[in-house]
Amino acid sequence: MPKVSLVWVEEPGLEGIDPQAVAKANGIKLSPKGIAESAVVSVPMERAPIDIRANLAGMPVKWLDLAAEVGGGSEALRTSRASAAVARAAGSAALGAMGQVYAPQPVLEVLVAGKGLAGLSAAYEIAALGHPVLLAMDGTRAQAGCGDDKPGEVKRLLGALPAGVEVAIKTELTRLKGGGGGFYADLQGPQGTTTQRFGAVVLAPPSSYQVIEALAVDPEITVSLSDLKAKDYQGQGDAWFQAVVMTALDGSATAAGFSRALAKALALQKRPQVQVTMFLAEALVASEGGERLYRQAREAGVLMVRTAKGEPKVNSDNRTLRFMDQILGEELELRPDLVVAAEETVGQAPAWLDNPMAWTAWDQDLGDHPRLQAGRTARTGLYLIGGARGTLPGADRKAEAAACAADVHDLLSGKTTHIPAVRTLRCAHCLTCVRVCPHGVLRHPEDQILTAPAACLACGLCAAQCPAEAITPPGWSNNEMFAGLKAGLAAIQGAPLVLFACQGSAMDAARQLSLDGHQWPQGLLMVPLNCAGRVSDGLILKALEYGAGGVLVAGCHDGNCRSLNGNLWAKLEAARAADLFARVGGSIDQVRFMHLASNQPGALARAVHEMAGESK
Amino acid sequence: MLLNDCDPGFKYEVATEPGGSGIKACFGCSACTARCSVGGHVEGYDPRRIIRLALLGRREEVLSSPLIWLCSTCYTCGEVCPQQVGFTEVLTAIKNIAARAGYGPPSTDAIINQLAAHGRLLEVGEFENERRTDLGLPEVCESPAHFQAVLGVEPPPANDAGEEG
Repeated sequence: MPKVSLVWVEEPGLEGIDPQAVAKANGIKLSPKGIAESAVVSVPMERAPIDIRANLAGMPVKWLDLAAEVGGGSEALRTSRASAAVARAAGSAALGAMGQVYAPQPVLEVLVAGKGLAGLSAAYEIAALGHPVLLAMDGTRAQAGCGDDKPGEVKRLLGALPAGVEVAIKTELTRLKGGGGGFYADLQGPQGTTTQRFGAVVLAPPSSYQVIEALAVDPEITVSLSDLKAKDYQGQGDAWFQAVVMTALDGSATAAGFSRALAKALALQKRPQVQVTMFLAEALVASEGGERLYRQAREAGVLMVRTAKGEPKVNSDNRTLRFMDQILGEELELRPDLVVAAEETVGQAPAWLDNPMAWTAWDQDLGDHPRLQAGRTARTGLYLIGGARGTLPGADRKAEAAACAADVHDLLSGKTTHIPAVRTLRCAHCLTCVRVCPHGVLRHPEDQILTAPAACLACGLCAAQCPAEAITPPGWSNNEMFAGLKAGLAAIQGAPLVLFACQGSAMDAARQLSLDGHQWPQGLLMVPLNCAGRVSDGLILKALEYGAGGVLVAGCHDGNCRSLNGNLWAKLEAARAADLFARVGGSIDQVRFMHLASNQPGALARAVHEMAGESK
Repeated sequence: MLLNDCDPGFKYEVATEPGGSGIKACFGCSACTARCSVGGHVEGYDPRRIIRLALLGRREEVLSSPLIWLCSTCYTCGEVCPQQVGFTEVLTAIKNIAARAGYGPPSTDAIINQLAAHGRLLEVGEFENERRTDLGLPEVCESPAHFQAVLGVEPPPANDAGEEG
């Protein structure tokens, strides 16, 4: 057993606590700079003085945020709470450093597979941040644009690509494996297929405008938005030429599609004796200049008709449209001389991603999850941008490409160091880790579990879920967690209660309370976790076995989890542990889960005191 | 109702009439409807509805409607309109078009009749003239002939004039 030292850094929230007493209670030595074989420090690494950080470099160290855990109350109470927290940290630090783990070096080259404004902008921006880029596109340079891009803009961008971008034409990405920091890509080009390694892969599949809302009217009078030439139409003498411009009514409508329809309707309305009626579900004016165009079209005389899905209906003459005017509450009819079919931009992700074994849940929550912006997918290091993601042509695609580049740069700049170590002798190849990892860190490409060096966020979901206990992320392995719980609970005075707290939400709330002098129940042991998803039923039952009278797991709100659904895994595990505990004679109320945001300290305090049986 | 039978030119007619230029900016949000003080008292009075009928080109329906004469010109609609339609002015334009097309409001007919009969909006009888004499004022003479000439109406029936004499 390595010897543990306590390194005490004084900071607000720790006033009046005697470090000597804390060290003595734990039977460890108080050291000013930490010179024993392992150490517990009273502050997080980012708040520690530089000389202490330098002294401890390379040693097994537990960085505590002691001020967040102690809270208010009498000096004796605070000292005993601090002792218990230090005991927990010392318990796991005493296990020492993990053995050497397999940690491949991240590759820094980036593959951009695709074309159009999205792909070219991404290649440009990523290269501008200093990463070598291979831009692989099917077709020639002349075919670099997508159907919904402005050709001039694509050409200009193609001519301005920096030296860091290597362009491979007539080249297609046919197969991809691996994960963030270590992808293996099969590229099929004129010289055959090669396999290359990349740190990140950005997919920008082509997209184009396609008719999506065709009315069942006489095809003779129907034309698509792309084919419409306004100057071909005008009224005869005093007779009005009635034209109908459709927009998407079925939920696929976009602001870009609406603006495009408006521009065409405006051109048509300006022709002599032409009356345009536009059918729309919503006025989507969020694109650049959309609001102005909408007003211009109305001022020119375009008639706007809001309809529900399924309208306008077509009468049996295949010509007359029937619809409810929502302002008048009256059914109206219109026999148009021309119907312009609605178009929207459509793009598709590559077909090889449609392989649920190789690409489990890669598109989970794609689009609206706050963690999956900037083109991110649920597979860290794999990006999907452009029309295939529903990003609008023009400025939005450029902005997305720039955000994607910033994210790629962040990923490959070596900030992530936690690599889950897989003990290959214990691994049963059940692929649970591959299935649960929200970041695509663990892959199983060639009959062995591999880890992707840049993608891990140390949420610990894999370690919690691995049924063989084969995954032991340094600092978060089961052994370390168990040892910490055992030592911490043994040092607790008062009725022991364990709080597993996500550092993204619950720990922030606890810290606010502690620094405001909130008095926690004396027996409360806080266990900060990178993500609540690190909690397993085994961990909760261990806490109960070591004497905890109750276990509270606090994770982020649904849809807010940095690791996509670590909070929901934690909720599931807590429910399972409560059920198991009730079966062996415990009370089901002794294990609870709660959703919490960092700005809800009151809710956390209430829940803790309720579990401790105190009214506060 | 078939929109092909409507007159798409009507909205341009209103827009070129002084005051009517804002009509096409309306996008039907109904802020005016919600705040209209007249709408709260008169069933069927709805600024947004009047604009919609005009935009659809239902010319006769708008011009012949008795509702267009009910606006109290409180300008609340103008205060809340997000598109600066200026409904009060738009309605003035519509009313001018309606008047030229021969759709005066019912109350205007009564006023015309009164002017044609008496040359003023109040009938002056013996009672008023006796009081004026007591006060040392001259009698008021009714001279409807000028108004009859201006309004282009025939003198009212003789029995009315006989009473005056």
